[in-house]
Amino acid sequence: MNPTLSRRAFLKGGVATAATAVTATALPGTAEAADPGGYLTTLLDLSKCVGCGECVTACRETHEGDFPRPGKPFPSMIPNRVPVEDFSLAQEVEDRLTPYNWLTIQEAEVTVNGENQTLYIPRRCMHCVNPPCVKLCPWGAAVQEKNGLSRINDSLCLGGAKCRKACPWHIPQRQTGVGLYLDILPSLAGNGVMYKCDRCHQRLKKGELPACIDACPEGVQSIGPREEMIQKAKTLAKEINGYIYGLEENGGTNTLYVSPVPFDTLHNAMEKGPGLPDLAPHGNSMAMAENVGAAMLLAPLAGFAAAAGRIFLKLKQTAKEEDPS
Amino acid sequence: MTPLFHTLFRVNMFFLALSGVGHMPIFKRYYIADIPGLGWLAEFQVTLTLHYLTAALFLAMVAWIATTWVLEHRKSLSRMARVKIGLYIVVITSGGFLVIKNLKGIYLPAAAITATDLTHLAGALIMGLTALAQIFHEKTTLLKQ
Repeated sequence: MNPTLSRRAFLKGGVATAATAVTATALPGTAEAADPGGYLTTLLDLSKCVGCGECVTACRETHEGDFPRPGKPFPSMIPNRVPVEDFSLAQEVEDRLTPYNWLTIQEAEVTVNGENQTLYIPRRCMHCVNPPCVKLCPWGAAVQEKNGLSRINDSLCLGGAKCRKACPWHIPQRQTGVGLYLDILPSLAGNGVMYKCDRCHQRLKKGELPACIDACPEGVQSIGPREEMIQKAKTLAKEINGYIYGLEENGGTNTLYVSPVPFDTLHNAMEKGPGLPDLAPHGNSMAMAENVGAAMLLAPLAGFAAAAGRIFLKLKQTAKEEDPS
Repeated sequence: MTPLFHTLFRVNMFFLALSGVGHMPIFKRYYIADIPGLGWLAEFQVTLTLHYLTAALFLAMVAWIATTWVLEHRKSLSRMARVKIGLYIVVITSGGFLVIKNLKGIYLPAAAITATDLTHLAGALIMGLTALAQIFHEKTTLLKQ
């Protein structure tokens, strides 16, 4: 125990330490709070979709310039078990998600009001409210914009595919042989670039609708602020006695589906696999980061309080010993 | 620092660093996750949770050390100690940004996210190298004596 420590020094030091702790927790104040209720959200009325594929064609035409153009041969991978994922010879494939096909239409044979029917489900990135692909990318190559859409920066992505593993629907698709990794350590780290729907962020900036919405002849999709779209989805679901997907899935998504049949029925009836997302009731994969993260910022205060408390008790004990009366 | 505190700090730092490296998809690629008992290193949800928990304990322990130093031991710091404190500030501040970024409804510009990620990674790497250099220096000094 420092014998020269006075009550004044203790308080002074305590205030300084507390100020440091508060400053440390307040520093990230430059991060901006966004309003998830205002995030741009699409609503898909599955009872309207006829599976014509106009949205798929429009998406491909709009993003033709964004698709990968890999040089060959690809660098040899070390270790050689690292998988090469090459869709460059299958660019025309439309029945699954690929780096060249960011929107696909899935089918489900179901019974609606006692009648056998095929429901068509346009599938692409769900644009989660708190997207794990963005939040867990170790390089910040995936970003979420202020309006809630998420996209991958193809000039920064190394193709590690963590985003695909983090995504409950495994949406992003990898193309080997393109991207930044070729300029760093092509054999030892990275494996290409991940691709997925970017909600036509460049069209949105010009005040245009995403291509898939614009091209749909049936008016399957509508777009607007999330709160508004949730209300619209609930009204629609009530009208058709239907069900909503995306309100709670993975903590909420900026894509909402309304279906006349339960989503577990659709999930069971549709083909699933690589590039074919499911419709399972996924929990919030960012829940731990959201709950523990907020609490973690208090950890330094706990350490400060424990140390200050210990020293205060020692001071009190010393004072008692010096002045037993 | 008591020996128990010291040991706990070092063990926690080891798991903090290990789970931090686990954020990059390399343990599976380089067969480390294939070693029996280390499969969890390839599960990002496990490494993320472990990183958060060990970071919380790290922050509490650093705050405890800082408070104790300010209130009890205030004496001049060695050059190595100053370097370490600087690195701690860099890693803790960038880590704080990343924790905030992971909360729902937080917007950070893309360039800021990349800069923060790289700062956190570089800071942690230099911190590890500094620790190794210090151990090496202590060992050679002992041998010379």
